Amino acid sequence: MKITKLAWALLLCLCIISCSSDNEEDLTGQIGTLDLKFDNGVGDQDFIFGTTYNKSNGESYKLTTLKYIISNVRIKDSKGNIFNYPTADNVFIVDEANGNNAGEIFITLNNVPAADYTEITFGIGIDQTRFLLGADGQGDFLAEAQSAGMLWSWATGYRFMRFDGTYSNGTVTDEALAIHMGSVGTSLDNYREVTFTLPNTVRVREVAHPEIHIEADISKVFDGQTSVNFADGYSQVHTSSETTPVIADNLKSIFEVHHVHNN
Amino acid sequence: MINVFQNFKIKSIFFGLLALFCFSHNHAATIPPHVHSPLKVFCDLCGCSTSSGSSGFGTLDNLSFVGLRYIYQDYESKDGIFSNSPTSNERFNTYQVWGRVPVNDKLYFNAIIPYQDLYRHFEDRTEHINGLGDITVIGWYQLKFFKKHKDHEVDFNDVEGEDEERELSGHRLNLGIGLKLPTGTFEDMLTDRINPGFQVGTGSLDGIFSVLHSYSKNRLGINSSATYYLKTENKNEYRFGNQFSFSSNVYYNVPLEKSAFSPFLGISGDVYNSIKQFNEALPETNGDIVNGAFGSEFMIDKFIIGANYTFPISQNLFGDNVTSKNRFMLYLNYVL
Repeated sequence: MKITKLAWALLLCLCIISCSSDNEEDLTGQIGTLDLKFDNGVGDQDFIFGTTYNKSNGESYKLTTLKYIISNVRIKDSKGNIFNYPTADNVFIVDEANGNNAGEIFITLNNVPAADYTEITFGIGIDQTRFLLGADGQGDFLAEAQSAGMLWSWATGYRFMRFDGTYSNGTVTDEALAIHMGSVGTSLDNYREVTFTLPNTVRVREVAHPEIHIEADISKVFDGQTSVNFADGYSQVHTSSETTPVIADNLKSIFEVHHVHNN
Repeated sequence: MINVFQNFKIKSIFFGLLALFCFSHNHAATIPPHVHSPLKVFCDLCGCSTSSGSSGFGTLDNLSFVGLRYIYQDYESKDGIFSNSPTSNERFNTYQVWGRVPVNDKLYFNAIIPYQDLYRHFEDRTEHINGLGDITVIGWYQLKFFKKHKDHEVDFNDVEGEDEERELSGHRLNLGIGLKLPTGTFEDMLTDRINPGFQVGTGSLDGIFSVLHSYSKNRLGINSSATYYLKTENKNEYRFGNQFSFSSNVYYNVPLEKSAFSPFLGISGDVYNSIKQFNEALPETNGDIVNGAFGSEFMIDKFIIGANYTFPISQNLFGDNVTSKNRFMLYLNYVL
């Protein structure tokens, strides 16, 4: 029958078209750009300065400053090769105040070898190796951190985060809140690292500019691995060997790779 | 409703055949073949997919025609990952030249040539894309059924129609196979957005497999359709998810002196599989929607004027990041 022939012809057409062969791409020597997009939120809400957020214990807080240091970004490709971003440039301040309209803060990694990346690792804060390079070994970042208020003194070291604002609870209203956790010289190491398997392959190419969208739920700084009370000494977190490691562990858990874009 | 259920049986056979085809399909080998229950619905409400079966391929009376159709669609999409992220509004205008042309008494063709004019309104700016959309061509084979001696029984096997003495039963079954051509421009840059339907075209050659059933008795008629879209990867290694669409409309014909008026009520739906990019499924790109519709056709001389309004009854599109608001359709056909 004529119609049957026509139908088979159409099916055949579809098969041929959809069965394209996948050629192995030669990526040797190709480099590209990769963006990390940080997006701070509180639970399922986008973070907004000056908004009052409730904690689990009936305390509430609002912030005027929200920033943290990200460093030692490295990515692993599908073949197991690890690309470490060059150390000198591999430290960044993620500052909510520098966000775009949607409150997204970009870290741009240039000269990334073209590959299909499947995993990302980054540090929160400054590791001991970098700190032991000394003040001169910090390059431009020392001045950047200083002007951003992310440094105590050279001897004490960096503030890994700065959450400034106020808090309220049953007894106090709008009391000062300052979470300035960091390592303390070489005596207390609060540097942490996190690793994520990417939900989709990130294809870095000369012509493609992929983006990894990282969601940070800042409520977990206070209600994370440990729930802390502002009233119990967690409204002012600076160099205490008791409170800072708790906040460091909580801060480590705020990140999640929400999705990736390959364009 | 009895006819609808009879129809479902036929649909299951059809989808069984489709599933077989999926298995034998080379590229689909890595993808689990997806057979949807005909009772579930799909979602292809996007700009590039307005030729979807859920929008209908023809008129209530299954007449041959050429005409113009305008479809307006309204969506709201989230512009961010949080529940309080800003939203954008998508307004899709589609203008189509469409027609149904007979070849002989059993064979006919459907063609839809769309022009897309799509707007996306953000809080601070508007994006606009327009141009020729994806052309759809479907060839149909019509089966007519004849009355048996007993009432309410239909002989599905008797299609030869040798006995001209016998009376037509009012049931008609149309089997369609077609192609959606990549005539509209697909912009890779736009894939970095929450609503993947904001495209003039999909950039892919897609297969369309459809079954239409119609039954009319006295002044009452019912048209049902089930359509499967087998989508292929475009040159950007982007592949829209396969789609199943269904629709069912009940109409009542009111003859006037020199014209006729046919109000109708309908239900339609779409179910979408996940979009694949570089052969990986993208999260939150599958979904489904069920729509209700009401409208009317007005026939005077050789002209049919039709209008309908479609509204969502239930939906879950792209991880709830896209909400379909409503759809409005207007057409003017000249009966051949």
